[in-house]
Amino acid sequence: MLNYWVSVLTLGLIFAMATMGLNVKWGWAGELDLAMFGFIAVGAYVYGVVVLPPSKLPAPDHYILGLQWGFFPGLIIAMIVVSLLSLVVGAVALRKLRGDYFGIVTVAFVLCLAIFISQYTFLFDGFPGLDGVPQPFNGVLNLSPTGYGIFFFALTILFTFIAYFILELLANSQFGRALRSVREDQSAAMAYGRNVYVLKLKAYVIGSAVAGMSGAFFMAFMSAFNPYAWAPAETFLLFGAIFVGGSGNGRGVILGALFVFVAIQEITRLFPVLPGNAQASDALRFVIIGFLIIAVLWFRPQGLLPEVRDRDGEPGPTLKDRSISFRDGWVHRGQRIIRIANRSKSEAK
Amino acid sequence: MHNFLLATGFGLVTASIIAISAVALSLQYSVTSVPNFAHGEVMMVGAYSAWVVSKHSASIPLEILVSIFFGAIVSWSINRFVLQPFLHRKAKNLVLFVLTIACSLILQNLVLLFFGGAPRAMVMSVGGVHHVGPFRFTGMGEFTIATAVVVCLLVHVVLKYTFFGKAQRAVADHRELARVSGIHADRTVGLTWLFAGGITGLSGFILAITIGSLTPTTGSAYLLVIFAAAVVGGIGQAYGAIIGSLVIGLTMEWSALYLPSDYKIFIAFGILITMLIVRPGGIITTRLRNVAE
Amino acid sequence: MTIVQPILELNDVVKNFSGVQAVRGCTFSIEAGKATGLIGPNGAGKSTVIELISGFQIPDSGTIKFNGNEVQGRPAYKMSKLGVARTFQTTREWASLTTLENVLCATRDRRSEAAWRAIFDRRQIKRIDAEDRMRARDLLNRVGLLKVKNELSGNLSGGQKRLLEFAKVAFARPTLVLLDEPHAGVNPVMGNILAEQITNLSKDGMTVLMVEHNLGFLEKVCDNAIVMSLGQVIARGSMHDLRKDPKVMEAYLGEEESRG
Repeated sequence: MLNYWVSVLTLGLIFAMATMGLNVKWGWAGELDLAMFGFIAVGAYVYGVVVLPPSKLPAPDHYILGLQWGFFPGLIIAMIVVSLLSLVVGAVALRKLRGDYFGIVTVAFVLCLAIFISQYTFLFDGFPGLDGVPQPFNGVLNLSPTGYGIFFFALTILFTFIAYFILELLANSQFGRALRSVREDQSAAMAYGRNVYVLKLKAYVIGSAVAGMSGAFFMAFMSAFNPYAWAPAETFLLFGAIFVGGSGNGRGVILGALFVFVAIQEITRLFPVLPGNAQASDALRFVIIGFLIIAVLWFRPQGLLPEVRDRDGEPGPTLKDRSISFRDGWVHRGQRIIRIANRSKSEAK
Repeated sequence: MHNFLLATGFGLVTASIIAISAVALSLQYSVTSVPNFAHGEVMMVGAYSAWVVSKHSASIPLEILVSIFFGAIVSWSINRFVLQPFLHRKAKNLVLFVLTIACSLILQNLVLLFFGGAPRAMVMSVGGVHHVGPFRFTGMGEFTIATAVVVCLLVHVVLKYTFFGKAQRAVADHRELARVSGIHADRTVGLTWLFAGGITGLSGFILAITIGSLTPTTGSAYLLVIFAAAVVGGIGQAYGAIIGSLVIGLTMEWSALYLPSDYKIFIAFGILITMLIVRPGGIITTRLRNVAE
Repeated sequence: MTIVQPILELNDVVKNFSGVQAVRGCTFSIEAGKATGLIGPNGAGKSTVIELISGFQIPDSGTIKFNGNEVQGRPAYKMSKLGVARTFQTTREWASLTTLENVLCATRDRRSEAAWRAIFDRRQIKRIDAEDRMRARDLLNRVGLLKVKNELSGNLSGGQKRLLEFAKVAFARPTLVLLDEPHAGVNPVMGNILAEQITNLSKDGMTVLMVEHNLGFLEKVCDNAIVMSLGQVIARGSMHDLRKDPKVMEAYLGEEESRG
């Protein structure tokens, strides 16, 4: 039982990582990147071929590299490769395209990528994909399966936290603010001297780097990966997590990811399996998420945890009478109390 | 030369399949300014409903009618129950686009739930191979081209000679102005989605019988090709969609003479990406709204 | 004797929009430090000129010189770097940013916005942020918006949004300010406040070029104006002189007549 939940939560956190990456692109910069899962997949694949031993598969099955390096090199190389790939895609797609056309170009890109990788089997062994990827540190630690599960969970928590910490630094800086201004009104941002193209590209690459990291973790966790999850549908689940959790809010998107990828997942698992339809619970999950997204966008588009508002050092939360500052409000109340006290004193006389 | 003409023949057939769908997509776009990501799924609704009919009766006209009917209803519903309410709330374009993606997800998976993921066979007994001049067409190919021609003529007649057609063009051109002139914009938009949806359902049927089988994801696999055709021709311009379909269809088939046929789709995508970056207005340039970005 | 170089010079600038000649051979220059109006009937090309100067449009031909350098065709963000700031016909605030953040975002200083600094140079950017906030609060106070500094700017009233624009422009510390119909849709009381703000900009040493239809408002702020009609400059001078200029009257009356 413990094994099961540790495993589910680990996977949920890895999805949370991916969602944080998408939040950089969508929540901060307003980019509708439907190719996100493609970057995650490339991250997974690159990690795999760095960590696996050289390919011994019978031809024509084959994969490149096979360096048998460790976890950290695999992770870093995965992130670098994905960042470079996203730089190329972003440089082309972000040039002139308005939001929805940009989304469509990313879909075209990810579908091309999927076809390319499945057909060009030399790279990553096409359709069957990679498997047998060794688990990080397993040889060194020699833990029991349960122990290893907990170890990997802790490792995932650590990296999720590191990513969260760094991304929050970025979000709360002038860089984050600049991105938000680009998101809200590009022309006005340009009028005040921002090179909107470069800013959007930066956000795109940063978000993709995080995607690469989550991809590496997917591969490390599941030890296998194949190209079925490329379609925009999977990426859209990530968007669902962002909408539900709160686009732009770091904690919100983690919450949203846990909701979509753990809570909803577990709930749909309870549904009876329809005979002859093995994918029924998957399909049902997508239908639920689809309706959920529409509902969230209608009733609470800002999500569970709305984007944190700048308070310029003043304490929150929102004040009833907006024209009186917090301090003035207390002075006002204090003066009223004094007046009442004086009046009752004079009445008492 | 012989191969080239053969490929041209295939190109015309491919262009026909694409054209029926692309014209519908352009019609929808012209009134709602948002690419309908659920377009492929509406095609599948048409195809699957025709398939259900085909299990019980061999009547092709009935299958056609059913595909049109269900395509129209689903398409109209998407506009009426999802897009219109959000539009009345002044939702941004990008939000509407995301909503069409959500609809696509829901539809695709509902179809998956009800029909399962296994491919369903869809055959039509129109056989025979005919030689028309230098080209060689199968009976199926001729049927497809004929359907495309009929649809295009029908759309032309409707747009030019009916009141709905005039209202549609007015709303597409300038919604506020149309409303002020007494045209009920919402109703016209609804009718457009109904009309275009019917054509979309039919295109799904045609696609299914051409491939010979269908799965819940067949429509979305072709969505980008159809979108490419619409964009090339000038998205929002029904006539442009016809030109765009010819360009895409012929280019795809000609490319198959030199490249492995799996790469046909890359060609279509390449054209799409290039067009969007270089000339998003398409060949017949649409006055792009929301271009202030 | 030193020749004062005009801060802005347009020479025979032409701009077409799908067959319509919005600007056809526009030539004028502006001295630094003054507030100049740009007036004319509808369709004269005034807003297009603003777009061309600020880098939002590229002229088909002609030159635009800013501080002696040719700048036509340079993109908007580069023009901003050179010291140009502009407002738009409709107020354009960054809606989900607070009022204060809007002003902070108007900075023309890009140093603090580098991504790597957010992680590795935090002390420096925090210091810049603190300084910016002090200056921003000061400017908000000047326009009377200090009390709503933490409000989402999307929730401000129309008049408040206009004032916010002036705070932003002042914060950017540009050399040249382009105002596109600042009085449009504004009531007379607010108009007086706006006039005061524009005069403040002039006092701070900025050059102002203002497109405006409300001539009464313009007179309060600008001492001279350029008159455009049908894409060309037809007159130039003080408001007093322009009122008597027959060409100007014809241009405006012509518009009156055609409106019937």
